[in-house]
Amino acid sequence: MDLNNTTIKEARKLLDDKKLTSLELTNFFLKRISDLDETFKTCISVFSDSAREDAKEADKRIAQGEKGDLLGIPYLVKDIILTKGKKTTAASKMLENYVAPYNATVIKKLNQAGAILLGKTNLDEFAHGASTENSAFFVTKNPWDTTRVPGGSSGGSSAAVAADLCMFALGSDTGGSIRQPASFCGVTGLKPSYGRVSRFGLMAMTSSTDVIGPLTKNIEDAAIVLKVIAGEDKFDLTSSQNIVEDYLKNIEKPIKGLKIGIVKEFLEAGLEEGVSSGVLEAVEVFKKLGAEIIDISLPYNKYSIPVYYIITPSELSANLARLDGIRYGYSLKFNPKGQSVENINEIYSKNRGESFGPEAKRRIMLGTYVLSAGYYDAYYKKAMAVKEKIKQEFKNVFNQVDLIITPTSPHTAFKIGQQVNDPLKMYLEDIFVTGPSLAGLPAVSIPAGFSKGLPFGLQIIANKFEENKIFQAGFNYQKETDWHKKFPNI
Amino acid sequence: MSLTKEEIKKIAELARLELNDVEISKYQEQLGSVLDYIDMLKEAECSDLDILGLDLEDNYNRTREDCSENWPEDEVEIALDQVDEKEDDQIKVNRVM
Repeated sequence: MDLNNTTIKEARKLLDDKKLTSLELTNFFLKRISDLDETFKTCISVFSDSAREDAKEADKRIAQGEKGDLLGIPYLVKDIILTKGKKTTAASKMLENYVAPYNATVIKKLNQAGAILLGKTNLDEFAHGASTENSAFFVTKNPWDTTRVPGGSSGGSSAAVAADLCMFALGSDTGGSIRQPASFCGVTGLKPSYGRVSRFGLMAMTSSTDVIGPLTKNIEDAAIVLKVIAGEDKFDLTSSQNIVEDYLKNIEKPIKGLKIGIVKEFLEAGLEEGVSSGVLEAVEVFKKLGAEIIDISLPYNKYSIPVYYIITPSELSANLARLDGIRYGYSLKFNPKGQSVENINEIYSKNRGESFGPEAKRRIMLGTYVLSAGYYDAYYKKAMAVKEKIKQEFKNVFNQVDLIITPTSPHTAFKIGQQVNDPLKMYLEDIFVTGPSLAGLPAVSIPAGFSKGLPFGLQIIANKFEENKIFQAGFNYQKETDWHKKFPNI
Repeated sequence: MSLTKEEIKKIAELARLELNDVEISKYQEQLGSVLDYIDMLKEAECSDLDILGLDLEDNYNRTREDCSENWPEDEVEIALDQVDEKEDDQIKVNRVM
């Protein structure tokens, strides 16, 4: 049986029809990982034994007649989400040997649903980056061209889905970290609304924008995964109490009459030629499907990157302050325990100085600086005010339109090493994806074409908690196009 | 905006990060250029907003009882297994007082 590039829905049918077992499916992906991951470097850990055990268990549940969208479906997860009894490193030397004591809520939900955890994927250290080059361990390669980055920070997850090493993967998105790598790797990547998915067990970066979401082979699979992982959680009081809709119910409904906004200034913003023409082609597809295209303007969006690089470092410098090597994590050997040391700060500074990578340090320093006495008003308070402006701007636009479409990234995947020494250039990667993060809006990147042989994505943004509209538009687009069915020749 | 080496050292001290001389020079240059870029926020007009830094529309306080919950023992064990030294389920650290 040819299982290459199978979607969750297709595998579900094979499993339910007893034409395939979860163990066979799991072994298929484990073999691909062992054959191919030497080249692509998407995984930090692979759990072959426990995955096979879980698959046998899922097969028993299926044999007993149990139904479930993800029952027996193998997946990978970004190594910043806690998996009980298994290493969870955040791709940092600080947590290189850290074993998670408990499961994140999303992992608990996936376990209950019977999904099979195959392993943990590479990322930029603590999710700080847009290329996965900031991993303390190794650089993940883009399966379309191994001299190029997969994007980031969920680059291991996006590359693994593109290379067909799993049925789906989880990532986290703080300012574009699911959508930008999805664009670079030619897969579907969904950032749900802020609060839609519990972050309990996700190592916190920017608590005010962090969201967990799926990377998949098409939009329908993203809806299937979101349905399972979404919902309120008593362990994350920022999780929304809104009822989780059945995202599949209206997904096939035609989009005739749907109002879609396009942002003129985005299409003039120095886009790579192939990306700009590709986005315009996508607009034509939506027109053909009966959508009404409306020109809109988001003048405050240009401030989203400076706002993000004040708010994010501020929050993460506080969130990472807990990592000092005292109770867990990287710890130098000082005087024998129980004896005095001269200066406790020296222990903290040495442990942290030796184990955080350059980007983590840069961001911790930036956050410490902008929050320091005398600078707080000029930076943090101003950033919060402009963030509010960005939110209001989106809110006003969503009075006129149902959805907004933009390019996900101004260009396709860049070369490994090309931007490593220019942090500002790296920050500007997220120019179209950070605004929705700051406003807490759901947004997806779906494959929309190729420029010089490399894939690029189209971003679809909806009003808060209107994921259903994203799924509906994305599904209709993917019925009309086959960009999402293109996979790299491996 | 340029930062002096002394300012970089002060920030690193506040952030509890030990940096070497090469790092200090590098961050001096890189943070300077990021701050220059961030400065474009000065031109962003938002005087019509009275912002307290709180996002009250979507986020509000949800409280819960302030009580301890018994965590599963195996999870406690995994957490405690990662420390260098322990004594009676307590983490042994350097004396700092």
